[in-house]
Amino acid sequence: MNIEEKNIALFENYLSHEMDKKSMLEFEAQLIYDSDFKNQFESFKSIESGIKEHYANELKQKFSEIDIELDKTLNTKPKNNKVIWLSSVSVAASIILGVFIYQHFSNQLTMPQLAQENWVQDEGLPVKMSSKGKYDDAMNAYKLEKWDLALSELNKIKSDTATYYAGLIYFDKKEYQASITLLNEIKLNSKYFDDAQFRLALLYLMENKISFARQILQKQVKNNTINSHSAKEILEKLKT
Amino acid sequence: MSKNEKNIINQIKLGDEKPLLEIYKLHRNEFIKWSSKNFNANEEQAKDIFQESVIAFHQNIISGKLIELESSVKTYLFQIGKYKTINFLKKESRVVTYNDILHVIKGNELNDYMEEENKIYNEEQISKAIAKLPEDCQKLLKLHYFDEFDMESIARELNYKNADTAKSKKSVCMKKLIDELKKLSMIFIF
Repeated sequence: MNIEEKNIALFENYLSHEMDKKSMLEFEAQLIYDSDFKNQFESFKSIESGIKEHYANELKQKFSEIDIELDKTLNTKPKNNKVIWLSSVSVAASIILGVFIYQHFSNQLTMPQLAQENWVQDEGLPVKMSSKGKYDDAMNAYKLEKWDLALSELNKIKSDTATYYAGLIYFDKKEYQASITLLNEIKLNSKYFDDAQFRLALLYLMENKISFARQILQKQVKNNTINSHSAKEILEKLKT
Repeated sequence: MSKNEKNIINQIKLGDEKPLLEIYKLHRNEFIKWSSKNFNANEEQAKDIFQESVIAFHQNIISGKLIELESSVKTYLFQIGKYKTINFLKKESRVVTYNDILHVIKGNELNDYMEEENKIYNEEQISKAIAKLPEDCQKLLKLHYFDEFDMESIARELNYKNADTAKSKKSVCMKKLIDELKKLSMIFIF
């Protein structure tokens, strides 16, 4: 496609809305009656979108370099191993205890397992991107799984963020009641509210308080929160 | 929005890529697990979708669509990722006959599809031409088209006299780019 040099500035002015009304109308009229002009304009727009795509791809290339590093740490296999292990346990249990006893006890075993499987580990707030923030010490400890140190740092801060992460830490410490108490404190207008509620549902499953968990999960589905898909899946499993 | 998150937005607005790389590094693995669990997306699909999501996050910030986060960066990114995953998986399951496309893709989606079909230059051709440009032109085009800096900001960033100088410099760079494309036997300038 031929792009006449004189048209380049014209196209730039039109696309950056820097034309007066009269010139703009003339420009748009020419697009209608002059097919060559229109084709040149399309070519110019194609180049502009190509430039954007080029720089987006440059950034993606940098992401791909990070991928190489992260792929070494990404491990999706344990989940499968866990499934295999659990299956083996179930089979063994059914052989030993018989169908009736197995069904009776498997229900009790399944709730905490269901909760654990849906509990996504929060990686914490970023700490490297700017000057020292108030959560940095707590987050450094959190990322190193130094739970008590992280808790003592978080206790110095009064905020939903601090309460939320303290709640998560108590889950990791297997102190589920403390975790429930803290996550219940997250207010409705907090950015952590939906996630805290979903985690509360999981905590109630850990404690075998299924009706509490069900109520929260139903709200998550109804409100179409980010966890609604997981909530729906868990509710399906609770039916069986 | 926390101070840290405000800083992230400001840094990205100023054309700093580091926060994007940090965010990508921080949340990628969890996104892969999350999208695999919730949507059965495989690892490669999830990686692509997450890259696209971070790019969209960047675009929303620099275009001014996103001024203030109402949630955490992670929640915002996962929300973008959720819709991108759903769209991606929908596309994957489409039967790609001409008639079906007309039935299934409508409105803006159809425009996107048509734009893709009408693309005159592919990314490889544009990349080759950009690589041949002088460094200042490459910087200017990136600031204008990718970081969406206005002419005044470009002038400040590249030490030009004023916005008018930046604007005429940009026209010169575009002419050079079109000329490079011409040399690559793709277009001709009269």
